[in-house]
Amino acid sequence: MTTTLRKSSLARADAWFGVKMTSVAAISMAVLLIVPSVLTVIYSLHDVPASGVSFGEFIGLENYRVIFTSKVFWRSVEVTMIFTGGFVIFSTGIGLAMALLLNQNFIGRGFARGLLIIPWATPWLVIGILWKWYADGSVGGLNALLVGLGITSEYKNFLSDPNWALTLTIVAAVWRQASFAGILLLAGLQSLPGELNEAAELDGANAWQRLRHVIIPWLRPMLVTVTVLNIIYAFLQFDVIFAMTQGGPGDATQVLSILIYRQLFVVTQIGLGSALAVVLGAAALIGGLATVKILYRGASAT
Amino acid sequence: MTDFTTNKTTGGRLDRRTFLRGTAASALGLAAMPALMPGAAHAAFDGTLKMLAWDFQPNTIASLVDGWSGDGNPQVDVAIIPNVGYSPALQTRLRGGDEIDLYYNFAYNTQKFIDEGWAMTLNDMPGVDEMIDDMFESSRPTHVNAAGNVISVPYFSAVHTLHANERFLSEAGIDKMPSTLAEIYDASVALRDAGIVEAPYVAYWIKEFCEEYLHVYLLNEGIEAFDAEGNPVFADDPRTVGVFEWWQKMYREGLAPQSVLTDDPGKLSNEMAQGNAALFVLHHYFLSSIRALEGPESANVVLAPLGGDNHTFQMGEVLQLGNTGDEERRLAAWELAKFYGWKDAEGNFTVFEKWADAAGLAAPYAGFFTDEAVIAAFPDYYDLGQLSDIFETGSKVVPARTLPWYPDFQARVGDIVHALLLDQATPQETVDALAKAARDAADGGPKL
Amino acid sequence: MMATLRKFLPRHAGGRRRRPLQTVVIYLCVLVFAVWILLPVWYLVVSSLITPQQLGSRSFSFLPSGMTLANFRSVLTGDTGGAGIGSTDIGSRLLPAIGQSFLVSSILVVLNLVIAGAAAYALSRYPFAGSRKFELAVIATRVVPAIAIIGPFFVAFRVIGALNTPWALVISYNVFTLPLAIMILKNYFDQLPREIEEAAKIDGAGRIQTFTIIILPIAKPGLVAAGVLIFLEAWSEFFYALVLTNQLTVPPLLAGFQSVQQFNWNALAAATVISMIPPVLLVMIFQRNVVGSLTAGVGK
Repeated sequence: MTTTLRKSSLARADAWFGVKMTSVAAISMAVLLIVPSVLTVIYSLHDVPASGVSFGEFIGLENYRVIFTSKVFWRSVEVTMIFTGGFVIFSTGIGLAMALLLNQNFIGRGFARGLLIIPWATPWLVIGILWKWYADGSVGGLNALLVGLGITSEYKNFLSDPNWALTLTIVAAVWRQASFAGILLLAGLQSLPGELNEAAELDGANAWQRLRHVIIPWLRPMLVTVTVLNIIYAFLQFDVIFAMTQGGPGDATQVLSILIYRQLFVVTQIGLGSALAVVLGAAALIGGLATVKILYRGASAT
Repeated sequence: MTDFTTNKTTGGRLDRRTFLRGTAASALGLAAMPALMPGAAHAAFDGTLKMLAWDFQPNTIASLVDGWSGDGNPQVDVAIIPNVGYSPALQTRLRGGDEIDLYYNFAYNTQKFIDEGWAMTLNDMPGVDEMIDDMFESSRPTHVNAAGNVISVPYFSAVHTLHANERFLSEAGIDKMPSTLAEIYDASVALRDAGIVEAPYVAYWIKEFCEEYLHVYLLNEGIEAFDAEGNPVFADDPRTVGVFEWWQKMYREGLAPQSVLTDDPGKLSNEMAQGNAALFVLHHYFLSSIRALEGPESANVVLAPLGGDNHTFQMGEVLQLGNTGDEERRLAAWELAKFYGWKDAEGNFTVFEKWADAAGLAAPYAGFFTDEAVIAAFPDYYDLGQLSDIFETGSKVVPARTLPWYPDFQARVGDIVHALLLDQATPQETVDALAKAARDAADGGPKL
Repeated sequence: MMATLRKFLPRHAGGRRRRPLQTVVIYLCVLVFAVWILLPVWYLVVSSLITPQQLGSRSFSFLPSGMTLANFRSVLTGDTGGAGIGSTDIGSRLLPAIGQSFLVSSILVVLNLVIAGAAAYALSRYPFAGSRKFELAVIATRVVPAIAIIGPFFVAFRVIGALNTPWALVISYNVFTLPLAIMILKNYFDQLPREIEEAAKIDGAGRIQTFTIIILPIAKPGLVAAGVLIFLEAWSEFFYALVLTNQLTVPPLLAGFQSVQQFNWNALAAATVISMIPPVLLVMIFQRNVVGSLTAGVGK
């Protein structure tokens, strides 16, 4: 940063070059994101007619009042938080486990690394459709497997059971995202200097200690990035849940993005739907920033 | 012919009572028809019409429309998008100012689309009176709103019927087809207790579809859901709570499998075909689906006749004309709508015959069921006389579904009914919640 | 970077001997891993090879007795062989949809790499007043709920006449992909050694020359990795494709299999299997680059 402040003409020319190189991206993002986002905020302050001919009547924070006094909203917040928590913890945790495993030496490792890519290369919506059938209570493969292994004694209708439906949507979404996290973390592990690990081993550190004191600190920046991305993906997740349960049964899987979808596109209450979108975007932003803060503070403490 | 959209002129206004008067008018309409049938008026517009349809047999849609264009009519650019997400895509496009001349729509959305200026009323269109006269009296309120305005044209129609496995029923010692809700409950218990099927009753109880079943079950017990003004009068009927008690009991006691809250109709049909279920309530054409699966029980499944003076729910999805272009373009789009939702220039049910052949879909016209080509097109396991009777006298549409606030209510029924089925609400609470949802929707204003 | 990486690889991947117990645990874990990934995929593949009747009889058999290619035939040619209700009519549309997805995703990749590449390089090497803030803003924009801003896009594309062209998607997909691409490439460039550039500068190379002649060749693995990421994000998108264009891409086409009037999981499974081939192949081809370069890409 300090270099940019140097008053030499070369530095100024460098900075100018930097501005020029960044400008296309900056303008693109301003046009594509800031304009519609500002529109969304404006919509959220109006009682927007569905016809789309005008902003409608300015009603201040009325839409937000409706949202924050609605039981439906708070229930949806609860579901969103559970989904996000489960999604982030398991995507990151399973991703890390897979990365550690695929960094070991074993026969067929190349093939196993190839497998890791399949879930990542599958569209979210397709993941939802696939898992809906896979987890089906009578023709699904998951039940056949669980019963076959003796884990459960009878077929279970996961998606119709409000206690299980959310879990299953998390599992399905994690199936893809864990692979994504795994790929990133595996990449991080591969850059771990072998000497570091070997030195720790010579010092008599066992596998757990090495994981805690060598591998995790090395991966921390990558883990932060992966976690932040996972939080954003979790808050904004729509396709998987839409394909699997459309928010049901009841309100068991009605995350905020499903609620936004309903307000904007089914009952076309654009103002209220936009206000919900603002709330969700703010939540994702705060969640992401808080994660960065917490994880980095953790880093400086150790 | 000056104003298609608002119909403030009394001259173009149609009196709903004329339509509801019945057969005498139909006969007159039929007699007058040949002179008014399409064929002459289409030459004026020479551009390309835009049509939007959802994803059911797109090749058939394209060939039907191409055939129409080939008969000297304008070219049609048909876009096909998935059924899942159709309504959001359509609304976003129309909101954004897209000009679509003719599009598929869900019946419960129609009045809202008129009010938002996305669709036009059809009162003054040539031949519209004849088309409405040609319809079953029972079907008209779907297409003609309370003010007497014609707001849509049929895309297809269906009646909710009980698909029953005859062999299973007789094995369980039931000789009379169940028809009331109580009989269905008893039959389900008998089927289960006889060890024939574990969970005998299936229905498409996903959130989005609960609203149709609300009407199926209310009508089944002779309860009026909404009065002419759209008030939720079902809440005042003492029998209504019983309907929800039944609904909850069917699910809680496992007579309907736990998975019905998320199962797809394709899976439910297969459950019937495989003999994992014995009773299935959904649109009549699912019989085609069950039979075509050729499972061990497929051939034993039949459409149950209606018992006594019960009614069932008649549904139908529709075509609407967009608020596009000038008069010539609108007239051309209307010609296409008539062809697609009624008859071709020769007076044949060309389009409906295709849908009957493809999937057993029906049209809300009496003449449809007696048309020879249609009879030939329907698979022979359909009793067309029976089906026609159900359409004519055994079923009702729900006129309130053409009210502008109805989509709001429709979107909320699923949550409320699922709460009942999942034991999160009592039947009485459910009745109250539904009535409140209807009133809230009618009141307007932002609501979650 | 890749060279340094490879230098480390053999050593900690091979050299030491493991205790037998460790080996057993590792292979058990590999088994669990394979089951976790493969079973849903295997279920999909088996579903695509059996008839609805076989699917309907429980319990599901992971090794079905009879198999058929009828589902594939029906989704590729539209010929259902008389069985099943109606035709799935997908034959004429699946391959074009894959083509459309491929086209949109590929154009987007090229466009994004140019725009994001330039910006990321500048942010890394030629920071300016406010560039750090700009970076944060880039990350922050990724939290905008995309479904909420589709309305303005529709209007804008209608006005400029981009509806129903691949451009509608190419442009709007930048909402998801551009921030991600800038983030990843910026971090990637940060990790590239600066010495070569310094040397080039001393030799009198201009900034643009340095970037195009010196940096781009070394940065290829990172660009490929970012490209794959962008490609998959675009390939996966459903809702914009549904609303903004009539030329269906893969996700909306597959969604079209589910309607009240027809539903056939077996045919859908076959279509899904076919639609998964291109992205999986693509990622497999570039696997080394992807895994290798994201190291640097996100690790900062």
